[in-house]
Amino acid sequence: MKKKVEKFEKGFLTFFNDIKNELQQTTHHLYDDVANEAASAFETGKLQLPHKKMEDYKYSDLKKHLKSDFVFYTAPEKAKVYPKDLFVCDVPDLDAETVMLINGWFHDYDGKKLKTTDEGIVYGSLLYAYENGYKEIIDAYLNKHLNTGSPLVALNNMFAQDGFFVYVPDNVVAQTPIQLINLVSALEEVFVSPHSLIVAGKNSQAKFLLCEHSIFPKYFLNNSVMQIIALENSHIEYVRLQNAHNESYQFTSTYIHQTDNSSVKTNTITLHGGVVRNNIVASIDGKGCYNEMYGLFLVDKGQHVDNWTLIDHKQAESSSKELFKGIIDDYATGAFAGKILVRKDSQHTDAEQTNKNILLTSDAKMYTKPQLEIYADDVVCSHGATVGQMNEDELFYMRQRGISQKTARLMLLNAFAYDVIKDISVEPVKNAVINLVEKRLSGDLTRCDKCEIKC
Amino acid sequence: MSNKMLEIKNLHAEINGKEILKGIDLTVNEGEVHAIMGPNGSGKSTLAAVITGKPGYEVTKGEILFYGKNLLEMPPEERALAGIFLSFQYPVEIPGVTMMNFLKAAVNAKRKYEGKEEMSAAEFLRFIREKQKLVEMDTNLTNRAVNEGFSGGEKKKNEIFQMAVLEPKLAILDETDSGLDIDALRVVANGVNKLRSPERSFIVITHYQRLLDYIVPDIVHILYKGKIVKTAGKELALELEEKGYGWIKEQF
Amino acid sequence: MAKKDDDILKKVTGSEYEFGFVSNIEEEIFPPGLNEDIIRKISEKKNEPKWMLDFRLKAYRKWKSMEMPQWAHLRIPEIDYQAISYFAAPKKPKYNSLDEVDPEILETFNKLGIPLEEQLVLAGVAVDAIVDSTSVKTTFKETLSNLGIIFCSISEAIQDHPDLVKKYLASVVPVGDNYFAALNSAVFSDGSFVYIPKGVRCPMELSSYFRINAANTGQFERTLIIADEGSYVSYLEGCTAPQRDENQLHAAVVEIIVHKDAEVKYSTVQNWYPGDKDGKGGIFNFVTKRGICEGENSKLTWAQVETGSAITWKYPSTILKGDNSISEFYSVAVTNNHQQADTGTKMIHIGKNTKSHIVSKGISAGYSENSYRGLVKVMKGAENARNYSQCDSLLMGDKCGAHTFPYIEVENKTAVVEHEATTSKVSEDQIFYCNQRGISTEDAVGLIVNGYAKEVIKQLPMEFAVEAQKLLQITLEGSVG
Repeated sequence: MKKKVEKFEKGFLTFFNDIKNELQQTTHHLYDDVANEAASAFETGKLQLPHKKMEDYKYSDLKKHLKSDFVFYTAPEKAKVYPKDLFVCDVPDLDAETVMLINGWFHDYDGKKLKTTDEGIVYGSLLYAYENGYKEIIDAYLNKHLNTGSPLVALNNMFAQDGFFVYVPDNVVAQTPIQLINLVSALEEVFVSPHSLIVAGKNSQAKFLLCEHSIFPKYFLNNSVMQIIALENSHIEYVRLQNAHNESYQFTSTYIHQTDNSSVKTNTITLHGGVVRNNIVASIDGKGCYNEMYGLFLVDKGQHVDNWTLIDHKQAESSSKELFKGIIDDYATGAFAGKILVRKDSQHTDAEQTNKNILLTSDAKMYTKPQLEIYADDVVCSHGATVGQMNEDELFYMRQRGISQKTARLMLLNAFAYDVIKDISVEPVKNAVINLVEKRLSGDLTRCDKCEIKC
Repeated sequence: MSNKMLEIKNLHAEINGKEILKGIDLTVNEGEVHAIMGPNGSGKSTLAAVITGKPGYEVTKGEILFYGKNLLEMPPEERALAGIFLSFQYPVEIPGVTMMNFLKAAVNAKRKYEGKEEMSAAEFLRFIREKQKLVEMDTNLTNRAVNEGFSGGEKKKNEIFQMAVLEPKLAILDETDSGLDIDALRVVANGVNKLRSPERSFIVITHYQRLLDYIVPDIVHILYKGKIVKTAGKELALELEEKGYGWIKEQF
Repeated sequence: MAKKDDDILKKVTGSEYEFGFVSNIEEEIFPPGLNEDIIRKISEKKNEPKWMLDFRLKAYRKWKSMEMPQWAHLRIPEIDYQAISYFAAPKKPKYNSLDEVDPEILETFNKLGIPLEEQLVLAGVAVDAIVDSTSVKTTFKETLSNLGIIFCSISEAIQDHPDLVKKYLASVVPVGDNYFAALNSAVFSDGSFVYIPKGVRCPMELSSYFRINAANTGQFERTLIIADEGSYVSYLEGCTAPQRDENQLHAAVVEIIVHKDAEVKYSTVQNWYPGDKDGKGGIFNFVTKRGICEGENSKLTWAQVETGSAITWKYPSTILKGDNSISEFYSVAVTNNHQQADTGTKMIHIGKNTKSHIVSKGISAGYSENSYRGLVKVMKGAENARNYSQCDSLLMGDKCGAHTFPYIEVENKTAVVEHEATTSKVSEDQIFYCNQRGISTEDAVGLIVNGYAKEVIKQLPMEFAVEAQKLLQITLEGSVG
């Protein structure tokens, strides 16, 4: 069933009360407590929709973008989309297990809501998994190890629909990546609120690609939450590819929780997206962990991309490496906030953070806020941030060799972006991203050139 | 009488409002090797920069013709495609751009300019290997970024190697000898000498006479305070070596 | 090693505040509390013209409508602004010669090492010394006035140079700029005034020494420095306060106007009483310092060594308005025991080809919290702006915190802004290397810390550099983590 919330910013609480019973029934009461809690926090003013007077949203006045009406699906609709038909475009050669959400609800195009790979990974619908044997795991981790006080998480929980559920059992080492497709497909302006959970068991290894797409050129709001739980000695790689159209609002919250000797590598690649705010939090709650957090965004026209990250070193002997790069064109705005928090007694932490940005025009703007908050002394932490333009000497060197200015610029921008992408270990994903970035930079429409939907 | 290649007439140029070149006249014919010597700050590198069109320099007077065409109206890449190559004094490092991609872009730009097809991957590799051998460039170039992590000597060899690859009509060597030990100097000079031909000309910019022992010039100019103050045969370099720049400074 | 470290830490945390004596000077102190009557009384006491009183009242009304800022990384206890006395002064306010000055005050300055008498000539320092709220003695006035330089207390300036004061006061830090600036504007009792005329190079360092003496008083001094076209001045300020169990408030405002081709160098050695080793007492140092590079090719340099105060909230800033103007900020902030510091700078690039350079060195020990907070903003019209910031933190011990909160806002594509920061500790290898050469661990730490802070200390005028080095040593001797 679909329902309409008028003037979201003003009407979302009333709307919540209107659809609450229906939604909570469809979601098997999985989120009732957190949802009610979040609603009352908004009601009492304890929480507010993000606006620029809040330090964490200083550069992203999200509330301003929530003035319009949105349609919300309180239950899945029968859709006619087949993922393979749609998604050959972004990663053509990817041999992956694919699952899909449409408008926030799980889409069982093959009639299966939960599948198991040959290697033993269980993946599919979170709601279905909850009812079919995975209650214990979901109860143990869902809405744990994340900040329910974050306004975006709270908002997601209030309207949480379905989400991806992936469980990698202990000792399972998977070669084939799992592709998660979060699709918005509606003729009206929708908002979606998926909440997903990935749990990697002890000594397991798995790779994920999350693609976020939209089909119709209607504006929409995607306020999604992804939780990644990496248990002892597990190794996860996660690539998020944001390539929605420029009329969308993409608010995402990714919470990573790591225990002893685990490693998690994330790449957040934003090619298109309208107004994008990515909150990425890695909580490193174990020794010997490694977190690599990469991000790349290419913005033009009036787009706005804001990556807000926190790497929270809660225990000793772990390392993290963070690298975010941005290329800002036209009159677009980029923002980055990255905090490395080293808590008391997290000795021997080794944390490095880099943020580099290139402004291409005089109307482009970049705001960056790298932060170190350190409470342990025997640590090596550093951060560096730059905002600048292309190096003139490099450009001249290339032009002196007969390379046109346009080509030289492209080569330099590609090289700049490549740093973020080069360590993606799934070759087809890496090549696809390189390819997309190249096209994106050269001004060719990167949105699915092989795709049938011309948007 | 060989053909006129480069003609510089009464060239005045400045950077940040400061005049560096104060009336340069220079003609280079096909097949000639010119040496331009001069003390530090005399304008040698500025001359190279102005010929190749480096942004930031402003020509206030005079002209530069290349086979009769006005060079000053052309962007740097067009000048390069017309056949002007600069071996940089300080080759820049370009992180992330691999040598192979860089060379491919340069070679293909040239071929396109000449109306030729792009080279196939195999052809290109063969071509590059050949040129590497020619100039004794033993650095493995695959997967290395342009000049990144190259030693001083390797960078200069890389410049000569690129010259071999791009086969220019006029090569300007800006202080190619600076910072080279004697072995590297020999390799670089050998490379240059192998590329000498009746159609190709060189402008060798150097502070010292040393390089000219290996690359023997036809004509030597002395540049001082933005002007060419003396022009003669190769013996001028030896005289200068002997008497030092003080000799020039006293005279002018 | 760990055991030894603990001992050393204990020893350091036990080190006493050297300047914590109280001078027994006869003082006139207003009753605690703040209202319009008090402000009228301050103004009356100082025999101020009406415009000045209006200025104060306007500021007071503004302040009443404001709230104390909470964004800094500080735990600030509730401050009862009605429990503070807003005016305290040595009873005899004016002196014609040094002989008239209360011997106790002179003794105070001697203890502080202030060269108020003959040493002045030797050291070439002109001093405007401020005890609690009033300017005691401005030296060298004559030498300076021959050059047309005005160096006097702000109270005198209000009387003698009202046009200059009217023109520039609150022109860089508006009355309602922030909570503490508004409070200061309402109640400031004294401070220094400097005017350097066109083309004049001030031949000596100008200096103010601030001291809070009376109990339960706040100090609210106001400094105004104007460097006219093509002039130069180097200005120093130093601060101490007696050891008292209760917290005392210091909320100063410094405004600097640098005209075309002029240069101002402003150095601070801040050594207010930091509280005892358990965090009892100490000065709350909430200071607004801001300069404007008004004209082309002007330059403003901030150099600060911050070792004192229980809480420091301070961001000396520069507005780079004139084309080609330059500003530099050099800071060493040391916190020990329960001290908290949230300090840094703001560089606002407005003019073309403006450059700023930031070097911040934080050192935290004990249970202290030390944050760098800075803003580099490049406005749309600031073509070719350049900024480079280097912010390093050194931790000593595992109970303190060191934080870096830079903000970079760039709205012009020709700008190049670079920020780098590192956090580390004094390495055991370095200590061992020194030990092996026969240097004690304490001395080694002193050496290493001074080396670490050298880039900043060398920016200070000689007399201050020596004091700063000494202060670093005292605050940190042997704090190996």
